[in-house]
Amino acid sequence: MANLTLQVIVSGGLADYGITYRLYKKRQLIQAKKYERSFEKTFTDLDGQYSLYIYGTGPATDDKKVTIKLLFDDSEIDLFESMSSDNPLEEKTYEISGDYYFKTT
Amino acid sequence: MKKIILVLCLLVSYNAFCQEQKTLVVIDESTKNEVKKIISEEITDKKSANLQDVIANYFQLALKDLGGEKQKFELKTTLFNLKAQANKDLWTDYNYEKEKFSRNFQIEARLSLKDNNRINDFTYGFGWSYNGRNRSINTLINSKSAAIYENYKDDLTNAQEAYFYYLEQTNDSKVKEKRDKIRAIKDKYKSDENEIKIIPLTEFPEDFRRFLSEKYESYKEKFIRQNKADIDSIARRPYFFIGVNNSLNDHSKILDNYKIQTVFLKGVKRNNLKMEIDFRNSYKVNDSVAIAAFKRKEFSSQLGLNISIMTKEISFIELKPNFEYKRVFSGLMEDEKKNQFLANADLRVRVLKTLWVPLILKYDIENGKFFGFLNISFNFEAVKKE
Repeated sequence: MANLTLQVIVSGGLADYGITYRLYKKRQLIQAKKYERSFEKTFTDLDGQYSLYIYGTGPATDDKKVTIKLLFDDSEIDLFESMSSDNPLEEKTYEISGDYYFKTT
Repeated sequence: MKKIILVLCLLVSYNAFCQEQKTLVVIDESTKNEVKKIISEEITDKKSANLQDVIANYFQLALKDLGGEKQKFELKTTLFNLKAQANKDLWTDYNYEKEKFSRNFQIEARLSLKDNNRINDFTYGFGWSYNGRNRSINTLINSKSAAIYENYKDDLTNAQEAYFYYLEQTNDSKVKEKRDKIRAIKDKYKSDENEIKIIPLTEFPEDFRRFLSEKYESYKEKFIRQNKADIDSIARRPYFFIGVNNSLNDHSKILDNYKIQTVFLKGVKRNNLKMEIDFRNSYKVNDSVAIAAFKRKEFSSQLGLNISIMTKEISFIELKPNFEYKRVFSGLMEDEKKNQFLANADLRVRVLKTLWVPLILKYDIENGKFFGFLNISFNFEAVKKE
């Protein structure tokens, strides 16, 4: 069983359409939530192979920036880096997205 | 006041010498513009360490312009921008939201010099606004278009997950290539401009499309229409501004020339017309010794309705019929009345994308005649703002 923390920091204003995460395990959606502000979410008791999608928008300003970061223990979780977005990921576009694929070891 | 201006100039000079190494050499006009751009970027750069650096940046900006042909500088910023220079964490949404006062508190200063480097004119001002239209705070998160966007993204994400799972389960030989293709399409539709671009169905590879729902093709049209309506609704919200500025020259004292003004705007919903109630009040005091020593005090109140005639997103004619009341408390000009009631019409016609021509018509209600004549002028400021 492993834990993983998702950290999303919004700056330059408030996220215009908010930011959503969706966690899947073998095609099945197991958790999803939309946030209006920066957030931190810890997924506990992970076991198996997962896909984590983060999407939404940053603020409708010129100074918009959204930083997505996954925090986990390398000995517990193996992130498929070639398939995943950068970690951490800094998005300066209006619409943002981060796709991550990982499995517990 | 002369002393204050003198101290400011000395401070500017002092900062210039102290920061000589950081100062860029101005060679020609294009380089000069580039320098201004770099310094402006420095001002908005959120990485500066402390408030002293901020002040130094602003003084550097002042110096650059003072060194220019026109020997003047202009500074316009908000208190938030100054604070955020020292503390970049203020840009984070939770902090940004709390900084309500500083985000809406504006500061401006203008200084121009004569040929002999003496102060020609120094103007400074402060203002506060309530801006219901500010998109950095007034979001679309609970709007109708947000619901459409959520459905679209749910659909797309479910399809992406199902497609990737299918590729894995069938041991597709081009699995990496196909996954990368989907991500590349998504990245292509991410925009720097503040708009969402719904990905058309035809953009995706054929073997991916079958994982999308039947509704997918309907999202784009619905979203564009609703998104525009939601943004227009925010743009019609009230805006209020109150500000004061004070102008000084080498002959004047601190309250010889000043202006207090308020502006209230509120949009009105109409299908093909963009309309806005426009209510402005000002109290001006001017002091002059140029022709004869006098102090003029004037109050003006103007209520109008700004009407924009639109083609798609762009207005090409704007008309503002308005009533104006003016009272001159002191410093009446020859043949001028103390109380004036005017019916005005400001007409602005867009002749080019960035060029507006304003026509101003004033009618003296009491005397039943036009005040002056049809005033045709070229609004360089409007062009600059565009």
